[in-house]
Amino acid sequence: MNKFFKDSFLDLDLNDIPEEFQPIFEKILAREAKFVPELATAMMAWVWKSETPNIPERYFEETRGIAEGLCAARKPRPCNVDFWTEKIRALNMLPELVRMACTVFGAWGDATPKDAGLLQLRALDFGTGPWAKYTVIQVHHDDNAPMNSFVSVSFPAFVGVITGVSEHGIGVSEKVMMVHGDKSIPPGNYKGEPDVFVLRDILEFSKNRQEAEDYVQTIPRTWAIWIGVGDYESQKLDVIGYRQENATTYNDVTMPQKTEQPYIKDVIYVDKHPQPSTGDFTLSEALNDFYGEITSETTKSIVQYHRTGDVHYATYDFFAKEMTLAIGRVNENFAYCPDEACPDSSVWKAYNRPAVKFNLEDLFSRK
Amino acid sequence: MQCDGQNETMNCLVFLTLLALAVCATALKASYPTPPPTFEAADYFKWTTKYGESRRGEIAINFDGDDSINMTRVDLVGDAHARGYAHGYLLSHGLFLSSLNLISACI
Repeated sequence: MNKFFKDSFLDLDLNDIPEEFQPIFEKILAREAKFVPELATAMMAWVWKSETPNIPERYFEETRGIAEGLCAARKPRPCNVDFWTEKIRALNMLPELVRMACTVFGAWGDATPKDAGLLQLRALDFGTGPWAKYTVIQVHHDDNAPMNSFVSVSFPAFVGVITGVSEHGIGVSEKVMMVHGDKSIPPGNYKGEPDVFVLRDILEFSKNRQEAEDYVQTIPRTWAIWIGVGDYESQKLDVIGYRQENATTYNDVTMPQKTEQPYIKDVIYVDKHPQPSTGDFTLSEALNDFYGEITSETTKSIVQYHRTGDVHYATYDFFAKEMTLAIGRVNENFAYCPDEACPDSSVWKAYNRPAVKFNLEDLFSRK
Repeated sequence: MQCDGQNETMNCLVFLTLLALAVCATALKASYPTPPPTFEAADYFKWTTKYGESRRGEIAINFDGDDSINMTRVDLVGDAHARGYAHGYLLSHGLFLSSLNLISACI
């Protein structure tokens, strides 16, 4: 049984699973995990169907378009557009079902050098899996519509956003909202707009932080996440505690109330652990050690010290208008190391890998 | 450093105390290994395929002998459907393989 899916699915609390799937999960937990793939596919398709009333039409059009383009490229080989449309839509619901422990921070003002502005981090921790191998940098443009061009660090067939920044300098970071205790995820539902589509909407349509923060108040929310939103306009980052029940905006002063981590002036951060995160101060320690010099270069040391970002991590430098991205490398078994029995299973995680720097203005001008 | 006289002794003590604190602060700061390098994407990027106004390109960085970084970039242009179509067309090979791999990774 592949560890990747086992870790994601078999450790789930049955109470978090929709009622109609609980009997199947009980069988799997009691016997073997061989039914997980079939179940996972069925569940993802069910989530799309359940959230359909709150999925904007453009996502239907785009996912159908992917299937049509795929089949056109495969001619004369047979290719069923309807089959692939359903499969692509289901795949896009994976982030609604699994939880990604990640890290978010923003640093500005006194925390960054004098000739710099906001530096925002998004580190994605997802464990063993094929993701890093299929990294696709998607850059979206529509010259005839009132949308922002934006870049999304993503994967084939995915239209939602988990990491990205727009031409107006809206950068998004995301982290699952996990808390300590028996019910580690706050209550949620499968009746709103998928989280990754909300993040995409923010990049595509918001002009600044305030618009993003106003927008998340207006939509039916599903599952709890922390959303980091920074912008060119203010050169600052807020973190939104986005939940079914409400969406509350925090800044560098108010965030420590939720995380019980030390206050650092001009820095807002949520580390990779469930919150409040009281046992591990490696992130705050590193942020303090580099205080005044937090840049995309020193962030490489910060993420390495906190050991965050296995699939990828990205920093958005809002002053230099650059995105720096590091991706993990995986072996044939999708582990982050060269061999099957490697002594250090983290050696190929993104935080231990070289980074690649993109000029955002070049990306948005299609160079 | 010579410390003669009461005022100079006080100045010496203050100086030595501050020096000791600075040394302690440096010693308490975590040690950080040299981080991995950063490559400029533009130096390693090449456009490979076109579909209408949309394009696909590859970033291929070889380093340290046999290590490498590989990413695909797609510029998707048009309305939602057009961008989806270009996405599917330009990534068709990877899309098939990645979808199959993602599902088979569960087995």
